[in-house]
Amino acid sequence: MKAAYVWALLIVATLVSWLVTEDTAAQKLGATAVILIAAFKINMVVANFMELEWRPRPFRIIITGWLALVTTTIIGGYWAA
Amino acid sequence: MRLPDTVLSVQPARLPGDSGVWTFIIADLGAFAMFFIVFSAGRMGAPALFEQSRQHLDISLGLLNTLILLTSSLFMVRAVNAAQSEARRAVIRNIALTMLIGSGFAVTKVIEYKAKLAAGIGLTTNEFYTYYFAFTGIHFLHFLIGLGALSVILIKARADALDAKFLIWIESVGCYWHMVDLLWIMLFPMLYLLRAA
Repeated sequence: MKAAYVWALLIVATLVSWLVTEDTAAQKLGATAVILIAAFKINMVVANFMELEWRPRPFRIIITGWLALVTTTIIGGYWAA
Repeated sequence: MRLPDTVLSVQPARLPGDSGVWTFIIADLGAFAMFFIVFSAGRMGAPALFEQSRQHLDISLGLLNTLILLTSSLFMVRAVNAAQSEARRAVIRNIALTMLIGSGFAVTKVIEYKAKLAAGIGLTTNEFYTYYFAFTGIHFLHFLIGLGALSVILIKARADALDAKFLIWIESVGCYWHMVDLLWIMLFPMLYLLRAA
């Protein structure tokens, strides 16, 4: 995808996550959505800005595993609190 | 059976930048994963304290920082693309813009830290602020190292040949700069936006 489109999508996702936090009544779901949006954005940056593809496998697998771990930890910790 | 030429010509994708830089990026991500785990564990133990402290953060500055880093990253991508087509002027212009826009992050961060310190909030105020200052401070250090690395490739882009070696350089710095962006993408919602129910 063209870098400018990726950038626009990242900006929109950022503004959406801010609006979700500011305005939603369902706070727990809103907070969860905000972290999931961040994970989506990170994946966009890795795939499109860093251009880290799947074929040199180890780094892409490690980063995807890292993202899954971090996302699960933050959301899990939030719900468990 | 003979495979079509298009299938035969598919090569394994190249790793952008230097593999040593990627090893460093992975190690750094590991350190930040620990930070995220420690923060989440701390928040589980004291959700009310974390929420109360979070409410004193300036969300609009955190949001602005995110927009600054994302935009700076876009110009970094453009600089790498320009280097791939050996367009020297475009490389220099885009690196300069990456640095110029990225510098806004330092400005807003200093404003934010100053406001916190003026309000009597510091590293030892409570557990939340210890994490806040430590994690954002370490991230800020990464940001400064990134600016330093960008300065080096700006000089190289003016003086050196835009050859394969330069491409490795600029791609490596680019991936590092995107990592700084990537870490802030998760730090921002975790610290500023996780509103307790």
